[in-house]
Amino acid sequence: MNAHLVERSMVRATSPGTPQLCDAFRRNTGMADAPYQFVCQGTNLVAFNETARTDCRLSVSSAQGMGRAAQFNLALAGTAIGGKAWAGSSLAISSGSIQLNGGARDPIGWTTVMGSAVTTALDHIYIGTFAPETLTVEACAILGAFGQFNLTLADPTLADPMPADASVDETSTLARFRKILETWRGRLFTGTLDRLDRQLSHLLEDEEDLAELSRTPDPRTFEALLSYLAARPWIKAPSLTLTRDGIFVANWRPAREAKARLSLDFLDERRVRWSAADARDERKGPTMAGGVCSLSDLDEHLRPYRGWICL
Amino acid sequence: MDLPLKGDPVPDEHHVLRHCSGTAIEKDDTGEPIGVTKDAFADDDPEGVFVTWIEYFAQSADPERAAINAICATRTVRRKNRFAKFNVGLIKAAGRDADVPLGVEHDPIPRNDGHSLIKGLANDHAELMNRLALDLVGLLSPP
Repeated sequence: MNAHLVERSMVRATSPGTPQLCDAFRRNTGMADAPYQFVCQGTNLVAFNETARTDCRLSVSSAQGMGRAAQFNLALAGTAIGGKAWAGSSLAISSGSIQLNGGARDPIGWTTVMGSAVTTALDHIYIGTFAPETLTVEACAILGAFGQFNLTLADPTLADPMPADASVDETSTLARFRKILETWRGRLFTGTLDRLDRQLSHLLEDEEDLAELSRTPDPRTFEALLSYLAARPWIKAPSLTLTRDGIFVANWRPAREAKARLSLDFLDERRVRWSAADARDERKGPTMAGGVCSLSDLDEHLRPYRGWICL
Repeated sequence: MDLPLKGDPVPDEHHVLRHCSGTAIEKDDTGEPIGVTKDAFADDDPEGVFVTWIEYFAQSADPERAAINAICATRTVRRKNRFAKFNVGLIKAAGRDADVPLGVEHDPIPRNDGHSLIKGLANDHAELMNRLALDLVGLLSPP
């Protein structure tokens, strides 16, 4: 546990409302005398209880106003159904960086993680589990070192996991790509993994259709897509299509059937072709943008479309 | 009306069908098609993107079905394939928005008299193809 973070965030007092959380923090931080405060939503701290959830999202915004940089410290404590602890690596923040500390499971099954990040606007914190764990977050505290933050819980509306299909031929294209996807279990959030599995099954189920492509579906481009998503857990799982050259394409729309779409063609391990079109506003007229860039430069190009792709 | 000739422009208010592979169809999590992607327009033929003019079959009781039957007579159509319906005027307008002149010309071929071509669209026009795909009027199933 990084005591420096706790001291800097000036944690105070203790709320009687979340004794389990307070106890967990004390046990896991080794700071038995540290006075923590957990108060209700609407102040700078929040406590909530979410059970049997695979992924969830917290939204945080600076009370100091949009565009003003402010640092906040974050602490989460929780347990997981089935006796498995959730790890600090399952936390992500959609901008800046978050340094996580802790994550070790204590003797009675609670895990506490703490981190620090800087935000300048509305930001999101994603809490996810890696299957087969199911998350129970008992409480969350956010502590502003330089100001107050508002914190709310959002439900990304996750679908039920797809049951295994025993009828899939083990030598089929679908089976091969499902095996690749399976190797990413533990690096992708459960909700993302499940949706990709469903999308794969619809995309690759017809071998005759695949045979008419100029090239067979390329595992390297699929792995490039998975790698991209694993590094950015705040991004929604996309719908999947293929180019005639067997390149995997990830597609996002701001809303189902909206006349706007962002498509990423994962050309290889390093390059991506992106194209975005938005024809929703008839008065303003349609907009189009796109190009080929390195994966490392892609986030900057996609900045205007964050709302389309983030959970 | 006079019988259109090869090279005649297809009127703006008319529609064309594009035969789409299942791999270019965007689906929701239940497998229900919700649109086509830019790759529905990818075509290696230098003459243009193959489409079929629906109103060419206006004398038929069901022009859309007649156009689909004409496509099926010349191409292998699979269960998961779909026929994407587009308005000609919107295709040309999207081209103008991207400063890429697009036209739709009648190009009859044996067994498909309504066969036509979208001219001016190249495979490297990814953004424009993405834009065109959003103007989908309807998505029809094979017979």
